[in-house]
Amino acid sequence: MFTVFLQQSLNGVILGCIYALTALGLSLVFGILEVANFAHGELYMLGAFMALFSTKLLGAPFFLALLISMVIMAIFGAIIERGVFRPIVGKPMINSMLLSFGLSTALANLALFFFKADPRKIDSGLAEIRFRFFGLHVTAERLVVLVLSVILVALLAWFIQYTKTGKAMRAISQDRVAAQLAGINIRRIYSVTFAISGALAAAAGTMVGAIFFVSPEMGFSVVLKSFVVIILGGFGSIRGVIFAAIIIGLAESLGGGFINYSYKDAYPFLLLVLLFMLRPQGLIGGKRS
Amino acid sequence: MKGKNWIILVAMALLLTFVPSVYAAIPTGAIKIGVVMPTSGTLAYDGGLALNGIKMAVDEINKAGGIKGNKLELLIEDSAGVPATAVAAIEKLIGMSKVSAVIGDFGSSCTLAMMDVAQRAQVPLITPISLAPKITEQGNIWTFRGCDNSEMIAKAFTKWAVKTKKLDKWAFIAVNTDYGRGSVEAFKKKVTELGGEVVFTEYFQQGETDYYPIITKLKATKANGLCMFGETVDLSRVVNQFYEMGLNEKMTLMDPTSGTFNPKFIELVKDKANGIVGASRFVASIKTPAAKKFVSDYRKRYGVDPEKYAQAGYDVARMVAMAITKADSTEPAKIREALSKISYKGPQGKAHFDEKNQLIIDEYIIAIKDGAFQIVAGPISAE
Amino acid sequence: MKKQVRLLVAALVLIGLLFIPKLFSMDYYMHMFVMSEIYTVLALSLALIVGFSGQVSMGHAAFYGIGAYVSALLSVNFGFSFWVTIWIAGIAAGVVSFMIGVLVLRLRGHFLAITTAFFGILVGLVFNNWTTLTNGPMGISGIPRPTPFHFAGFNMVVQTRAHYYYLGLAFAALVTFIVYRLINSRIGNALIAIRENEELARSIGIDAMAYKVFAFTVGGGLAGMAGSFYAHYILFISPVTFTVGESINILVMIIFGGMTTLFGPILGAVFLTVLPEFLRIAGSLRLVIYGVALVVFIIWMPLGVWGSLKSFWMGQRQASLQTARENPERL
Repeated sequence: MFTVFLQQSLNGVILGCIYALTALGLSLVFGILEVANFAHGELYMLGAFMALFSTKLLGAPFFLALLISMVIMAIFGAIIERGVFRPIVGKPMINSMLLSFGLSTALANLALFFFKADPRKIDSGLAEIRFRFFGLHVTAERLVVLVLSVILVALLAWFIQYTKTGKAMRAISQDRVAAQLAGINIRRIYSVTFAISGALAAAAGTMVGAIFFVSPEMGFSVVLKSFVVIILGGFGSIRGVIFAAIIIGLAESLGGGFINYSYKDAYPFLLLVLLFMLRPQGLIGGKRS
Repeated sequence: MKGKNWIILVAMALLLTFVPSVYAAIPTGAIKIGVVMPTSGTLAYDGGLALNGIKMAVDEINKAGGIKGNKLELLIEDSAGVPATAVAAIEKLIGMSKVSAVIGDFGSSCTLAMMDVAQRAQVPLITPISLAPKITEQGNIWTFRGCDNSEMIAKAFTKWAVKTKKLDKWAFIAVNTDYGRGSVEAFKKKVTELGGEVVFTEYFQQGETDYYPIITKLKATKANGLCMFGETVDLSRVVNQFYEMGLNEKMTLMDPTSGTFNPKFIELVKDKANGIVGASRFVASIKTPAAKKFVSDYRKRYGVDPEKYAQAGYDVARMVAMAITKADSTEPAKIREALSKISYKGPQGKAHFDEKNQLIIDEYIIAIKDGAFQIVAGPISAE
Repeated sequence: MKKQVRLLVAALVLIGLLFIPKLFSMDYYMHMFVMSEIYTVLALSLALIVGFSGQVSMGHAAFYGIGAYVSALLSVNFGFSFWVTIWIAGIAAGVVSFMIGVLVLRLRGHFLAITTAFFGILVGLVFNNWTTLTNGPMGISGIPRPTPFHFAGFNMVVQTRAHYYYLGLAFAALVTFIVYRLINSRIGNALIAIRENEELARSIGIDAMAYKVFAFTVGGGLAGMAGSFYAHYILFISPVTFTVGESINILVMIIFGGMTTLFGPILGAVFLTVLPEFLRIAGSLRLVIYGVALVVFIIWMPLGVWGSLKSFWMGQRQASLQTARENPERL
């Protein structure tokens, strides 16, 4: 029984790593552009497809494919920021939400049209390598998810903490007007933010494409779960988001294994509801609206 | 700004006035057959296979001169695997396009939802795929099932699995739909009748990706056989994760409704497919002349071997054509009458409808070995 | 004077709408019109929450679904008539709406929107997984049509599309009237004050939370009644009809028409029910066109069609765009 518990926990943590990557990108865009980007899941989906094509058409090995996909999606992220989101930054929030929803619908269905519905799998060649210790099973592929996520998150933390651009990003998320007055090129930062968000989503999509599947419809559910993560984890805090992501992963895995599998997707939301009831003032505390 | 707004308004108004004229341009004289299949959503891949079969059958018939000189015309609507959408689609086909018969849908839940419309409009509805027993248990004379159902499969398969394969502790993982639940019920009954034991049952939602929670739980049971009900994609995930957890050493994988017996599944799970046993009304390795011809024609057209969805689509479309020929009319009521008395022979074998409009056909016990589908036993007659 | 003109126009429009079944006899068209009526109710009830009170909800389809399920289960399992269940459905959806409202309406902006979406998902998961009650993804079939009743000497039956159309028309007109009266009352003024500036509203003694919960409850209850109508019209319900996607669809309708007006949501509901059906000729690109149109539309017409026309005619276009720009977090 204890082994089962440990196994479920391990599964949950690995799942949490993926949520952390998608949620971090979403949280950055949210913090800096104040846009709830529902099309984030499509960046993740397209990222998975880019990696798939890199392995299938170019014959690239998995890690190179991951890199290619991250670069392409970073560029794509910057493009949609410039073309779609920039005109409505500062407009009522409902507009940006519906705009991103429209974009999400369009991208998902374009992908369906061009890439077709039949789901494919990114062949990392790592799933066949299986480890077994203390009665626990884990594939090399899932270990890679764990390690890569840690590396990417560390890189992001370093970038935001120590580079000039990173500092500018933090400044904008705290006070846009003051940052602008201080001479920060706010538009450039917007593009950079979307690029990072796109790259992180691509990384997550690629990994999911390897351990699960790649399909045009993989995006939407991930976005909503990522929103749970960023609300649970508080804003602007990388640590909070990671912590919340792991909790959500565990809740799904343990709840699904020990309580009721059918409600697996409900546990993250229930956690949030519980939190609202325990802390009626909301988690976000002082953060505006 | 102002100018742009007006352009959008005018464009939208134009779109609205222009669109209806497109509908009127459909040529008359052809015999219209409606098809409702999921071409988007999680069932899109499997729905496409059935559609391949239907299209191939109709093209063959038209190439041979159609039905008494009249071409068959297919009007295809997407149900997205959603019952409400399926209802809207069949309403449109019957109400607007005045089709003579409707082929559809894939999922049992969609077919169940459409049956009422077919009955009300008095147009025959033939499902090539839906397995839920209750479709043909409602006394709806307008609905036909052009394939076997899970009770028929259960009868043939469990006997073989429990007696010959000696699998006595069964675990079930099934999709939470009429098809999944109906199948699990039918199988549980047969397994216990034969002296087997059911130790584990879990349902998942269509399109689920992460099965680790239940696979981990399954590991702690004493089951020696895992019986799965679902579509290609979902089941390929189950099988992959089943292997990742090392369960393959403990139990035999069974897929009695053979959702996994197709090339796509093999591509998705590779050699992990080895040893999966199931039952099917059709596999590409059937060696009768009719089957061989169908397989080679299908291969020529689509580049892959047909499986049972394509076969059912193909057979059902041909049955409808045969009924129209027999009835010598495009009137839905006459087609229904003719269909119920049909005596059909296709790549799978002989087939006819019983008094509940259930197709009576043979079953084969099959297994996957190195990407090929082998016949282990059969044909087993349904009677 | 102006009020009388308006009433006259409304009456004329209503009379005109009575002739629709005579003009479009085909069932397929009538189906679109009946659906338009259902969406009109949904859009108006959501406009009460989002448009007039400024509280963005992405979970409206949950109340629509609760109404549909309550109504369907009562009539299928206990033989209740539609004429009874539609009220119970409205009350049930209103009660759930009230409870959720109390819990979430202290949140604002994005957080409120996303949290309401979560509740929508939770309700959907219950529909899907409480199989013994709701029959899960298989849905509930065999829902009876409204029972015949006697009214003013006539024996009324609801059987054909045209019957449903008239019933739906009465329903939609009633809801339009209710919402019209609400927004033109003291309550409506308070709601609009909260939308424009909640702190200010509080400072002049408006109990913002109570009013917001009130709007949320009424909106949810009306959506529940729409759900009941839907269930007894389609005669089959399943969880896929009541997803977050559907909530967003309704939200798009009111944004499209212009959500701070009464006519805007109606326009949006009718247009966006009819349009996707016509887009079916675009086949698999249908949803791509829809998505792109939405993006283009939101960038170019942030006030909605009716809202833009209205402010254009009133010469206030510049002014209202200005307010929208200056108060980015207003909605």
